[in-house]
Amino acid sequence: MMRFHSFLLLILLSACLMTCEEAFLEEELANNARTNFEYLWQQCDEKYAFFDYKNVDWDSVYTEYSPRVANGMSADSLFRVLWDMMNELRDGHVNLISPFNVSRFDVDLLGPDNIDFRVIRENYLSDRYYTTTPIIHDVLADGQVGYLRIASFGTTVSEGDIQFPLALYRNTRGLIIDIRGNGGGSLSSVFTIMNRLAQERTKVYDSFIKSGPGREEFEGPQEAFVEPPERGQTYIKPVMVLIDRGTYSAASFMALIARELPQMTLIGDTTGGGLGIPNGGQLPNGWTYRLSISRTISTDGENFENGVPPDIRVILDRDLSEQGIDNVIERAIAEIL
Amino acid sequence: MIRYIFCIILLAGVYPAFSQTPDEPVHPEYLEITATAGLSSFRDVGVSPIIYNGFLIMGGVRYTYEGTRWQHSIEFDGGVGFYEATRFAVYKSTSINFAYGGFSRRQFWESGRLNLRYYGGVRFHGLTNVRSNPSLLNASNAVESINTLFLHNSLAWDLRFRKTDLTKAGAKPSRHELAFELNLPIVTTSWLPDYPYITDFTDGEPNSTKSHEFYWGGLRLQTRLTYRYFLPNGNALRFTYWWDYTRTPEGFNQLDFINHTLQFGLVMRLN
Repeated sequence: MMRFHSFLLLILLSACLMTCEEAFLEEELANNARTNFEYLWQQCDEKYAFFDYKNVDWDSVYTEYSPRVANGMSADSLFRVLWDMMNELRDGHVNLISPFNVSRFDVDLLGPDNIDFRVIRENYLSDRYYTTTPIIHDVLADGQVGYLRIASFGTTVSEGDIQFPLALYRNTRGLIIDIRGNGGGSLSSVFTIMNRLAQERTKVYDSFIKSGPGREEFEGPQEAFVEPPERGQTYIKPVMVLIDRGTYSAASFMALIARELPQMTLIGDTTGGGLGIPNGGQLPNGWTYRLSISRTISTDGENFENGVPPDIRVILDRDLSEQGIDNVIERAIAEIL
Repeated sequence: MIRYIFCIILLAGVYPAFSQTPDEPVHPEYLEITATAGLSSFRDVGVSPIIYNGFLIMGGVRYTYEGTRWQHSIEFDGGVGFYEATRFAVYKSTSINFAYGGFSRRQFWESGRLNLRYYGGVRFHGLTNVRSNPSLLNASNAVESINTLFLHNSLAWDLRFRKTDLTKAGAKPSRHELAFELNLPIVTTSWLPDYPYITDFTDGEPNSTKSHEFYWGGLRLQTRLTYRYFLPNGNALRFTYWWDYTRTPEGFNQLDFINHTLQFGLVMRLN
């Protein structure tokens, strides 16, 4: 009988500890409209990096939007309120993602569309232009200028992807890198390309990343450099980088780096910016969000979060486009030749 | 094939087990192959207030030395976990898990009448996980490591000497052991994603070590209920129900883990 009691004692001891986890694990936040609103507002308040730069009074935003949120409202209505609230940040890197919708802030609509790729295909590229994914490339101006079109950094650019066109156009007088409408993607791709266009190790910017909930709690600076690789194809002749408002995030980083390289010229319209790295998170109702949590400062101390300006401002002329002329490319060719 | 391997290990045994003379002092050493399956829950406040529930499966090895007074053991397990949380949609998270540790313990008390023994000592146990949740965008991936030194307590009920009517005359009585283990934390360390949570790639080079912080403290508790059935050749089968609760220090990236796992071990005696 004593043995049975011992056995029972062991089982009870185990069961007691194994079932008391409810006491340890805090309950989940209630999944209702108010909780989700409060949670998202708080996350932005503690993590967003550009309140001061963008002159956003986030407390006033709370005061404005809080009365619009009530428990029992439909999911779609809540989504619209949260979307409006997040768009107060005027940031293309701020999104709310639900199973039925994705919020956005259309940075590219802040300026004119500065590219018509149909015009380029029909009038500038040959029938057999190269596609070295994700780079479309060919020669222009009777073989004197190499043209590289990168529509997105969503696909990573490998060393081989960039070395091939650079080797192909090594005898040209200059390059055009067209990143108009490039909404970004892999930042490492930008460095893969720019390292091979740098003449020497060059500091290109400083970055500061959020390190705490305070508005000015940042860690940094973290210095970023481009540096020509010891091996492989490089290119140090003039490079024209074509930009517009649709040039965003990683592509805007490329424009920022181009500012620091002496043989590079930015032509077109101011970029969309997006130099803050976005993180990611989840609301109590499962919707996910992202927001910018870092600042990037140029070597001369400027914050270009709202856009990197061109050295030469050229807006696409629609009348010329109708005639098959891209006046932004024409200006770039003229600068090279 | 697996069945044959299983039979060979358990029935044929490891040869030296048959060569010992009864009077020889015995300090058995065991090598164990383990298979673990369990239910698991976690919440990573750094990116989500939601508790993810799922299961994990692991495989591992363990070495144990059982001296007259002291016992020592080391173990390593690796496996994968699959989790989800259902709200408006089903959000999924997967993980690659590594668990490692061991104990060093001494027998402090024994009751011959009850066949009970109490062991005390220290146990080290570490968890290192690589988690992935694609819905969290740039914060999709997390690497964490939580390591704890425990005050180890174990109460074992040994049925080696129990003879029942079912035991055939002259046959060697089979040995069973039931043990309850309670591990109370002495010190816990955590290596967790830092405030931004994402790997810092602002200079184009992801730097995962820069984006983590090291912490002291937190809460960790473990209990294990183990049943071992020893075969006449000295080998054994082990079944363990294992409860593990982990909470890292309170803060912006607090992490909670609860694992309920069943572990099966093929225990092979080495001497």
